[in-house]
Amino acid sequence: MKKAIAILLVAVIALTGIFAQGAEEKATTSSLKTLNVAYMPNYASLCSVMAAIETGAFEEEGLKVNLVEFADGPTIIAAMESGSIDIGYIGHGAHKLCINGRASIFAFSHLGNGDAIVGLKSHGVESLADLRGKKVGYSSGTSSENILMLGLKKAGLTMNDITAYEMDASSLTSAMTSGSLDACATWSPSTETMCSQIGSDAVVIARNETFSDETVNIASWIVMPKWAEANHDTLVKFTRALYKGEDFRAKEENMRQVAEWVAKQVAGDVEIQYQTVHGAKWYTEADTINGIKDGSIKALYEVQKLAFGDAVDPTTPVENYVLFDIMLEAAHN
Amino acid sequence: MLPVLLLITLFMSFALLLLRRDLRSALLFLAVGSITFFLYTISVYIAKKGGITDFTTFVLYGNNRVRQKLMYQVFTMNRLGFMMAIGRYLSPYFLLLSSLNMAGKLNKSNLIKKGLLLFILPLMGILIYIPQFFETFSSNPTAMGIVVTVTKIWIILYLAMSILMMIIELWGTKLSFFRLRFIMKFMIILSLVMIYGLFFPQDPAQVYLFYRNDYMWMLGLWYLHRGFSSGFNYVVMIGALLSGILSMASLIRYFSITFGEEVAEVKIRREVSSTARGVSMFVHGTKNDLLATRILLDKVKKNYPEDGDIERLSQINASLVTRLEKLNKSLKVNSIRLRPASMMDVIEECKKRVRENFCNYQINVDTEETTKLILADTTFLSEALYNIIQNGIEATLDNKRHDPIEIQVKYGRMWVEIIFSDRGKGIDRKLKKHLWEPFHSSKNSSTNWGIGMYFTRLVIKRHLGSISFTPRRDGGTSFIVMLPLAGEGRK
Repeated sequence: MKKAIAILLVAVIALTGIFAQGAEEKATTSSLKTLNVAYMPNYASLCSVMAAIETGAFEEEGLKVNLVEFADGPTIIAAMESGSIDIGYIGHGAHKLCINGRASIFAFSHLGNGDAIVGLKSHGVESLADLRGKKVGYSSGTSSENILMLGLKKAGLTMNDITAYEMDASSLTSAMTSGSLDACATWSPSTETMCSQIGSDAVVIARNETFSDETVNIASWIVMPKWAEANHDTLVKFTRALYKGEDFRAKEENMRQVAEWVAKQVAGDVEIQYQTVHGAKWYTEADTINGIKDGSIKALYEVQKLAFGDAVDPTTPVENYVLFDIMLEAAHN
Repeated sequence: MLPVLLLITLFMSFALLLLRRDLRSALLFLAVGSITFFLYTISVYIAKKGGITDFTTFVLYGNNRVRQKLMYQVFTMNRLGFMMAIGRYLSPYFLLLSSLNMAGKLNKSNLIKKGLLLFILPLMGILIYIPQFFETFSSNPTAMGIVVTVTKIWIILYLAMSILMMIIELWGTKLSFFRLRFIMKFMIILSLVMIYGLFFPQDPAQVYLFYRNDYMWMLGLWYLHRGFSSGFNYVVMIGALLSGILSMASLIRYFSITFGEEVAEVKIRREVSSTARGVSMFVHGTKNDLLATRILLDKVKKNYPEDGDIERLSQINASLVTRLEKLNKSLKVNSIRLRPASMMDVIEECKKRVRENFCNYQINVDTEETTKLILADTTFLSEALYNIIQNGIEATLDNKRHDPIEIQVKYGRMWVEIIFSDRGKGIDRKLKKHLWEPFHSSKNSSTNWGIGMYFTRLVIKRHLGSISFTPRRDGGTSFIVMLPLAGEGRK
């Protein structure tokens, strides 16, 4: 018994040593500043940052990015608040937390079309109106909840007309595949994964573009306001590298390569990632700078803010939570 | 890694329950079970939320594939949160009951009274954290803050009491035999408290209230706590891993000792039951013949009163009858009458028999002045302890030494420990395995039937005590007898 305990202790100590050594190596082999960056396991979240890592853009700026995977935006903000994460990516739903002062946006990512409401034909769901009385899964506080609300509103329904099941994104995929739900509101690449696994029985009954007259689906990069103040230069460098990544992934010839990098990072299927490369309007550095200068990006954030309704204070100026100065300062020209 | 360790611990506690089928094993199984369940819900939640380092993934899941499996398990947030609440509130309850039981403060007679009393707070916790109910008053941050804080406080109190009970009991256990055994139990409770303590601050309501604006910030994600970031994360995770190893190792040790004792007991019982009937028939038949022979010898003796051979024959006959009676009695120690008695009186009786049979062989007794009594049948007990002394003297003489037999008597709170030490050659490996079995002896003697140590153990067991032996540092053997004290501390 004593021997067994001793062996186990030695194993634990050895493992600790290995991990500690790894951490030490990271710190000593370069003088790069390490940033803990939160992402969600999908193409939209990872494409620009993976491109910047793989093309060496971050290293050029003296930065090393340590990627940490999260399920959704609100959790990323909670982790940033706790101090374990420096920079994070959020989808549309978590923007209301930024409007409410929880975090600041320092980079515009893209206009997405990845959120969707998916129904099962065999369960009688082929349109938004069919949702009445059905079991519908969603992730509250995220883009999933937003698109569900919009979908119900368009069909003249409310949450009281459906049996709502609050779940996380991964549970939604499993529940739809097993047929436990009749429909769900989710985001990319869960949409593609579901459709691929379920086959012809799955039908996308609404996407972001279905509601383009009411809201916009913006994705952004965020930091804690205090962190942004204390790390202004680092933030500019990060944004500059991110622009390089965005420019790289925007080129048609690089899209396959970026999908492969993303698939490798999320340990997923390349084809599923590649299916989503045209699922959004990807912004380049030039698009962002022009958009800021002509006021179109600010206008997008204004539309988004108003679409949140009572969940946010509509009088909050966009400049309070979007750091346009960082985006401009990071521009290469 | 950690779940694997806990699952092994759970399996061992279940095996212990099957083996012993007593309250202690049941409570321990429930404590380990509820902590394993709690950790499972926490692991599922963390797998779904993400944000952990590779090392944390290794500690909590072993590898990323396991994490992915947990991540895709279908749970509504309400169900997962409520499951977490059940594990969170039952764990400290069963830990405390286990601790109280190990410390001798909880038994079958007061289980319902104390168990129900201590269940009030966990039950309230479970009821309050039913998602639909919790949400009704979660709109009032002050009320929710109070519930969350009060819940944390009683959990901490239960954990502290669990540890405190064990420390007090350990402090009061002076006898080395019990102290060593109790340390093992203490380690089980301590390591389980440590594992639970690392994760219990995660409020279950967070699972189903996370996205409702302010609750995210009010309740917080415990595993993403600032303190868990960077280097301290390694300390916490290594602490969790070591606690898991400690609880598993302690429980395996506890199980192996219990299992060893049970196996030995069953083996001896089987051996005795298979031989007892034959021995009994043999004893009765032989004894009748010997008694008939004695009558004949008495008649012959009257005819030849001067014949020394007839006298020797009578003595051999009488000795055979006595030994056969003793053999018969040894296999049938069924009715022992326990009465309060002084341990020293029993030892004096042993010394008296030593004087009669070994010409005043020296016996040194080291004891303390006390009024404490044991519950004993002094006739049986003194005979049983005399067997140990007799074996000790014979072993010492066989070793060509004349060192006295040392007897140490130590009184604890509930037990008395009597250590008999000789300077013999020690017990060889082969005999160690069969020492307590009947008809096993290392002595090459026609008068020795190998029943002595079996009888001794049987009598001590009937006195609710235990006996073990250990080699002495400078040669020889020590036999350690533990007997419960009468009166205070033992009801």
